[in-house]
Amino acid sequence: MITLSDVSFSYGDDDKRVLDSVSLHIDQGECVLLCGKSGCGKSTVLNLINGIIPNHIEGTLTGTVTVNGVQPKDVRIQELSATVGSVFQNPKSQFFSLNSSDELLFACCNHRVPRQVMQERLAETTETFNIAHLLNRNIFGLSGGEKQKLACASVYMNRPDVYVFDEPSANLDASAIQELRQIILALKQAGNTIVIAEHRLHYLLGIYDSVIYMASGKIAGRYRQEDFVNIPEDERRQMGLRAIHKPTLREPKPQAIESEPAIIVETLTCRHGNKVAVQIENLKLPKHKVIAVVGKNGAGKSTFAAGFSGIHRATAKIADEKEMSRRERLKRTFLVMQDVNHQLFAESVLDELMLGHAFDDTERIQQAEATLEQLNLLQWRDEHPQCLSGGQKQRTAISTALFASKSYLIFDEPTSGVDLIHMMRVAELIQGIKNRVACVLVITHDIEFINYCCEYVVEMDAGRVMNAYQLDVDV
Amino acid sequence: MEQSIDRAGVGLILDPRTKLLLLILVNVLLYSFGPSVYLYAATGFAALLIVLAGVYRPLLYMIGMYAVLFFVNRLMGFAPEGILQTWSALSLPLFLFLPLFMYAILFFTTTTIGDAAAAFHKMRLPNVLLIPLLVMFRFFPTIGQEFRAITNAMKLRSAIGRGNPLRTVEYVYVPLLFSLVKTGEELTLASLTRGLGLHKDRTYIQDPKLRWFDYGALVVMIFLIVARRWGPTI
Repeated sequence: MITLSDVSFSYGDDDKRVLDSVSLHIDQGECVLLCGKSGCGKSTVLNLINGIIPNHIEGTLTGTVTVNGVQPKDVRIQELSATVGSVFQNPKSQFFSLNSSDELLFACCNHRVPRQVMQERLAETTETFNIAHLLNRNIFGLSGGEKQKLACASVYMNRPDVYVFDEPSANLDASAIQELRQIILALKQAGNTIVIAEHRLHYLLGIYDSVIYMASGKIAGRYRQEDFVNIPEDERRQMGLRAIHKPTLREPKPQAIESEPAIIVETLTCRHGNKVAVQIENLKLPKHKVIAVVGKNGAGKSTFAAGFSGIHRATAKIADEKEMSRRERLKRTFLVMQDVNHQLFAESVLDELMLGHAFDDTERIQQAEATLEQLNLLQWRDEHPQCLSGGQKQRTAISTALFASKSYLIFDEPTSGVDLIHMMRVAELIQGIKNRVACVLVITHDIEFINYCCEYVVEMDAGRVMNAYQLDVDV
Repeated sequence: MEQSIDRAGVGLILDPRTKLLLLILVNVLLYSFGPSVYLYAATGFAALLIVLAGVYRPLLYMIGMYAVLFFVNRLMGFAPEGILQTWSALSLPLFLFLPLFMYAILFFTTTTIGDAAAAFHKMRLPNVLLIPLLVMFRFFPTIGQEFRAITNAMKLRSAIGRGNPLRTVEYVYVPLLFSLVKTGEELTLASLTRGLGLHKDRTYIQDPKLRWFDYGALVVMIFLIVARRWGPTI
């Protein structure tokens, strides 16, 4: 079905090859998992299959790619989309329509599918994916899991033979990931060819037939499923891969020692219109600990963060040494957003810290440089923050918080879509700063990350705290 | 089944072409003949159509907003000359354009992009015009979303809000432009891999048909125009 023979690719006029003599063959009906560290070239392989390279992204391509007997370079991406369907990572930006039903039909409209057939497919797809409740909805109002389901369904509407998935689970919670698993399984059982690039591997266990492990643009290993699942733990870590089997959360501490609370949330009530979205009573958050806030998509974790930090209005009684007003909470908390691009404003990394200060205050500049030094950013002090890598941007945002002497740091999904090494770096970074602030809250779905980094867990469901406990072993 | 997309819970929806024509006709009523009882009737008619379509919230917002405007207007009777003039200059257009706002609300709250595209297609609008229009409709709400995320982030950086408002605007634009460029790129890829622009023509699941209430609504509007032109002056 898909053949790459001796394919090399470099972006633009760059000499660096992101793919280096890659040859592979994928059979009709086969499900292949592509894994490896960030930047290993797995997305590039996907983009070669769906024709984005070289038709949209330009560069130097050698070797031949064949998909279903066609060379993607010879046809337009749109033509190829009859054979190859793509599901991307970011649920926010992979929809062309604003209405879910429009989106389901979008590809069919473009491919001139007759009205009658469209109606039949719509009925069948609704049934197969069990999405009757998602029809005719505003897409902005869907949860991340619902969006990803809709994305799969809308690709399925066009009935391609090949599905490529680029990190489809990056923004999903545990139950949405299970649903994604069911969908991919159903697509495979229907005889489709599936190629998935992922960092999170455990949910695909039992679905993939073979695994291609990539490292710096080359294929560094091919495994049949039964060999891959038996890779020893330390070797797996050496390879920089996330857990192959489903990770379980560390046990709670049997006799937790009541540690000194940094802050007590006596009450916090956040409303969306008339609906109470979050209602929390008497939650104590321990001092100098990294606290994981867990729960399904829509459990109210982000609303809690917005209410706690003062971004949203909320009825709240929150006190550390004394009770804090909304204004004070805004002053003393900082939220590292999932899309960190939204919170970098200045023209250079140093200016980002110096915003609001006199730019010629040499003493403050020295302090700012010291903060940058600690976060390993000093060499980029004059770079534009928007031109840095994802990890560097995240560190820049954190440095602004430390420089402004914030007491409460909240991270919103800091490890979505990152590989093992980057996840461990984020973990180290958060562990490294936890004693400089009163406490760190991390909103996350990532059990592996919690096991590496967090000492305390707050479980939320339907806007309430269901459980709060210390984890067994200290990190 | 007449409409294959289930629009359950939604009432009497006019064809997008009808809504567009109503919007044009109410402009005629306003600009050619100025305010009159007939214009007020047209405004009320729009409210009726919005309610029949099953959309209440925007209507309530409008009523609330205009109630406040009306109240302030009454108070202005006591205001000193200067303030009164400024107020009139600001509020007059709001009152004058109310009928247009109403028909615009009718169009935008009860038309999905797919419906509009199917209707425009039926009006033989070529793809070269239609596709940019679709992209534009997709992009506006995106700008709003990104903007909200950024202003939320700014709230946590108290240093930024202070001082020069022009500077603040500049600080919003930097992240906004960067994330819009990125989102735009991702949207392009999403639409290309779903075949946008593959053929000169697209197909649609909707089969836009003018039904009795489309004709009914147009008859009412034309009646109002005729009555304004030749009927009694009330």
